[in-house]
Amino acid sequence: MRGLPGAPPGVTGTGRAGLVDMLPFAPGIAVLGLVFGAGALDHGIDRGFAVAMSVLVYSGSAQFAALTVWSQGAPVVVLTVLALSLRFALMTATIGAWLDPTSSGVGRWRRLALAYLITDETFAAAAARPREQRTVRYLTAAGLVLAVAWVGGTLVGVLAGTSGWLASWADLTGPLFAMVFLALAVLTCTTVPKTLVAVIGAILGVLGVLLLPPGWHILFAGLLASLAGPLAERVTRRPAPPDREEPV
Amino acid sequence: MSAILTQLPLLLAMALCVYLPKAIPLIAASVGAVTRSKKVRTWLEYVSPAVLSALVAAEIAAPGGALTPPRLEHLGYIAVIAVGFATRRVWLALIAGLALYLLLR
Repeated sequence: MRGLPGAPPGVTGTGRAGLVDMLPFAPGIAVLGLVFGAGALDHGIDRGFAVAMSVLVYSGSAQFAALTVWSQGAPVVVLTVLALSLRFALMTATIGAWLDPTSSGVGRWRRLALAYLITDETFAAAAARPREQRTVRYLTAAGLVLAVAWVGGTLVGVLAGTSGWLASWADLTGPLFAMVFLALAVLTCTTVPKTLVAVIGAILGVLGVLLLPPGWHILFAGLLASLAGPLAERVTRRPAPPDREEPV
Repeated sequence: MSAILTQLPLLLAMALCVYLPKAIPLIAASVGAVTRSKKVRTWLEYVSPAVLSALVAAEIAAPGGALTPPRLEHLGYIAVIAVGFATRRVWLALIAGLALYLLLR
């Protein structure tokens, strides 16, 4: 992707790239926020609390899971949220390596602020981008788009309440999200070892979701499959080059 | 507002449970703890395909934690993979996959 005139190539304009890359996700996120807001009311959660959850917790999977165990008490809710959120550690460790302070000048406070905006979607989209475009500006722009969609959707949901038409929209968001993530996963498979790792990750992910407590499968599969990467390099007898510039 | 105040500890606990797993590794990387080792950097190159494929495979094959039998519209996912590898374009893969999915649904 070319940069704007007069700017370092491939860096300027990454904010706009972040906005554009979130376009496939944003409507689905807004609908899910709407479903969450309406669903929270069904579980007897106060409207203001539901919106505050979306603002402060800011994790769709954790919030929906919290709803399912809400009646079991606060400790169970908190543990469920924690279990589902551990996967972010792998993602942000990877993002941290992208934002190496020796090259990007990204200080600790900016990272603390950026951490809030990291989601599965922003990670996936950034991972599919060429390395030099995975900047703070990109991640921030992408994160803000989703934050507005999520919180805005929740707000509409708590105001609109439950309705039959919400269920049909929610039925489509599942496949839509899966396809977007699938397309992005394909884009990260830039070498044979990475493709092998993706296959291993897929198998372990399915096994993990069947055998492990909710939320642990991504951490389990992500760790084991990624550790197989260097081995896959040796097996294929070809070192994986740094991420190539791949136009998306 | 009163519900938020009375349940503030729960709200903050949930928020921290989501935020800390995100923030700690990001901060660790800023002090070079993550990026200093070449082996760690090499390993991290493989986290993206591993995590994304685990996430999406589980969602497609076992939503809700139980294996679902394959359905005809799942060919839409095959279309996403095929077009994605062939074109390296997210939008094209998505359009192809969604079109086939909705057609076969």
